[in-house]
Amino acid sequence: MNPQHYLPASWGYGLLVAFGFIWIGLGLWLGRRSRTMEGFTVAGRNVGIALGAATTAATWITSNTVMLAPQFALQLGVWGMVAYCTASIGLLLFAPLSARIRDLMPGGYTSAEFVRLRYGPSAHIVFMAISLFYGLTWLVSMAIAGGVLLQALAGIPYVFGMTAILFTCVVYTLFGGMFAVIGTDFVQTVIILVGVVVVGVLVVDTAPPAEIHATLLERRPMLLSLAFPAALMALFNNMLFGIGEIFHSNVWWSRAFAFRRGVAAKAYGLGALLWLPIPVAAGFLGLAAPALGINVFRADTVGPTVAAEVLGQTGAVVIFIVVFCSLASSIDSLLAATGDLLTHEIVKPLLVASRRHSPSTPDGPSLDASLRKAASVVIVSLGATTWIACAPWDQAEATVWYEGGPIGTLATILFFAGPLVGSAIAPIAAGLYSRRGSEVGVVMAMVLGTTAGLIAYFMLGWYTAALVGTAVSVVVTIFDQVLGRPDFVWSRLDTSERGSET
Amino acid sequence: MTWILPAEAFGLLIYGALAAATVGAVGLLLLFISDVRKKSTW
Repeated sequence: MNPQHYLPASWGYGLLVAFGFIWIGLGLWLGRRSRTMEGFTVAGRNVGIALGAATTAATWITSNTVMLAPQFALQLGVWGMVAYCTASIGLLLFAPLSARIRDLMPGGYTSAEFVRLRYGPSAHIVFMAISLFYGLTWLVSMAIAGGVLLQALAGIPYVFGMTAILFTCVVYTLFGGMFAVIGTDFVQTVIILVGVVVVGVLVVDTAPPAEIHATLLERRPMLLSLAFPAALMALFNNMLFGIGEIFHSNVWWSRAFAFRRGVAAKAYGLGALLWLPIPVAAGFLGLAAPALGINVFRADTVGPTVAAEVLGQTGAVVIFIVVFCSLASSIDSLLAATGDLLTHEIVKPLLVASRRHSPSTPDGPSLDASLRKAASVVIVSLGATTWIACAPWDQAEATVWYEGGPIGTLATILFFAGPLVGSAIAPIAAGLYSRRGSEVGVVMAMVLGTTAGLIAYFMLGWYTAALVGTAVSVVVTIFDQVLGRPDFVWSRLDTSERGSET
Repeated sequence: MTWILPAEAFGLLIYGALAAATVGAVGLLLLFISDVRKKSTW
C-alpha cells in the first residue's frame, strides 16, 4: 500500500464494486415504475416527506461538503465551517418557493419551462445557457473529484475511479429515473449522516474540543478569530452562491415538481436542517489536525487524514463510503435534472415539430413513449460527454486541477459560475410572486449581473463574484418591477390537462 | 483587536453539530417508517 493512501487498493476496489452493485440494483428495483415520462422525470409527482427531505439533503451534500469543509476550516478557521453552513439558507429560502412552484405549475417539468412561460423566448435562451453551463460544470467537477478522491483515498487510478462512479450513476439513472435518484438518495443520506457522526464522535473522544481550542489558541489563533476578513467575505459569497444555485437549478425545481402537493415546503425545510450540521461535523476534523499533532501534506484531504490517523483503516473505510455516497447522490441528480432540461426544452419541441410535419401512423409510438426513449439517449450522451471531458486528464493534471489555487481549483472554477447563478435569483423570485416584470428586464438582469460578477471575479477575487453579480441583477430587477405593469396571468404557467382546459 | 471564539462556544458548536446530525439520522428513519406505515412514501 502506498503510504500516501488511506486504504489498500484491493479494499478500495472491493468497496467500489460492492456499492456500485448496491446502487445499480436498488435503482433498477425502485425504477421499475418509471416507464412513463411523468414517472421517469418527476417520480409520479407523489413523493412523501421522508424521501423528499432525504433527497434534498443528499443532493446538497456533495463530496465538497465532506472534503472541502475540513479544508475551509483548516485554512479559514471557524468562519470557514460556518461559511459552508450558510449554503443551507438557500434550501430554507427555497422551501416556500417550492410550494409556490408546485401550486402554480402542477404539470411542470423544468425551471427553464417556468422562465419560458413566465418571461418569453429570449429570457429562456439566456437562462438555458446559464443552467447548462452550471449543470455541466458541476457534473464534470463531481466526476473529476470522484476520480481524484478515490485515487487519493485508495490508490485507484484516476480514470478507473472516475469511470466507475460515473458508470454506476448513469446506469441507475438511465433505468430508474427520478424514482431511482430519490430512493438511492434516502439510503445515501442515512449512510452519510451515520458515517460523519461515527468519525466525529471518535475524533472528539481522542481530542476533546477544549483541547483542540487550546492548541489552536497557542499555535494558530487566527483560526479562532471572529474577525477574519477573507472568511467573512467567503461567508456572504458562499451564501449567495448557494441561493443562486438552488433558485435557478433544475435539480431543485424537478424535486419541487416531484413532491406530493403540500410536501414540498416541509421537505425543503427539513432537508436544510438535516444538511446544516454536516459542514461543522465534518469540518472540525480540519481544526483537529493541529491538536492531534497530525502533519497535513494536502489540505484537500485533511478530513480523511485525521479520520485515518485516529481510527485507522476503519476510519478510512467510513470516509471512503461517505465520499462515494456524497458523489453518487449529486452526480445522479445532475444527470437526471440536466437530462430533463435537454429533453423537455430542446428535444421535445423538435419532436413535436417533426410530428406536425410528418404525422405518425395511429399505431406508431406516442409522444410520451418517444420522449421517454429520447430521455434515455440524452442521459447516456450526458454521461459520455462528461467522461470525454474528464478522461483526457491524467492523474497528475486532475490532481493539480483539483488542488490548485488558494482554496482549490475545484472551488474556484465552481465559483466562476457564482455570478451566473446569482444573477438568476432576483428574476426567479420576482417572477414567482409578482405579476410585473418584462422579458427585456429579465434578460438585462441576468446578462448585466453575470458580466459585472465576472469582472469582479477577475479583478477583485473569486469570493466577490456571486456577491457583485447578485447585487447588479437585484438592482436591474427592482427597476424592471417598478417600471413594469402587473399584467401576467398566473394560469399561463399551468400546463397540466386541467390547466390547459381552463 | 482580535475577537477569539470562547472555548465553550467552540465546544457547543462541535457537540451541537454532532448531536444535530445524530437526531437527523434517527428522525429521518422514524419519518420513513411512519411514511411506509401510512403508505405515503410515494
